[in-house]
Amino acid sequence: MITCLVVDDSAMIRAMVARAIRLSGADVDQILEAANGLEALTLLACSRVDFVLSDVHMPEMGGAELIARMRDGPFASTPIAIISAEPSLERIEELCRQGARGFLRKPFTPENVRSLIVQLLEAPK
Amino acid sequence: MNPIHPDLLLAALAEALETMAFIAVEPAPDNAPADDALQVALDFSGLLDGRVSLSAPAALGALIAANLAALEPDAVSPAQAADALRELANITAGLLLRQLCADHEMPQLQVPVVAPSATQPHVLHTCRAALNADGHPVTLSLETCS
Repeated sequence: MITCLVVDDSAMIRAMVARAIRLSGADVDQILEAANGLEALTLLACSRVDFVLSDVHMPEMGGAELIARMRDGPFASTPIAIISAEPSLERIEELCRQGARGFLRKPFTPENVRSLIVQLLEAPK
Repeated sequence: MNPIHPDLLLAALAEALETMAFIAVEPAPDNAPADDALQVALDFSGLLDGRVSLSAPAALGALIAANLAALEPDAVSPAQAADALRELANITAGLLLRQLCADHEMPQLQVPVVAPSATQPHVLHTCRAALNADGHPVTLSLETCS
């Protein structure tokens, strides 16, 4: 069973990402949701999660700190990708250097989501 | 930075609406905003300073929210409609800045704000575009300050 964790402070965006995952036909059985990085770490600690899709700018804990905490903690092998409207390729590449394994720029199609999920699930742990 | 033209604003708004919410658009006259229009703005700063502003009726926000989250339009709350318009403005601003700026000069986008303060100081240039989104009038403007 494949479980995805979607992290965004907007319930609307979490619903949008979940809908896109379902429409993509990707092999995902369960979608968990968190409103910020702190909630995501709590869920990671008590659930088996195969990959994380996270926003960058969130209250309490943003995407960059979540990436760093996952990389340096017990969830280092769980791949995380960023979903954002960030226009700067340089800032995206910086997040990838910090540990993000992929990036999806908004607006995205279900096909874009599928490609990202395949990339995350096939990436070496 | 590339020259600012209303067609760039229209293209960014159309791509955001069509891709994120499956809503088709067409150019429209730049009329006064609807009575129930919500104003959403994102400031940006860096080598280029300014603001992207979106004006659209709450009913369009409800339609976008319904499409985004697979809800019935009647089940969408005012907060969800405003959230959808914030996200539309956020995505549109990202697309627009990528069209205007090279990566090394890309400004930092702030979070979208509903009902922003009325004016930006020291506006040097303003560009506006209007379109019709599934019967709803939408206007997008770009103010640059430097």
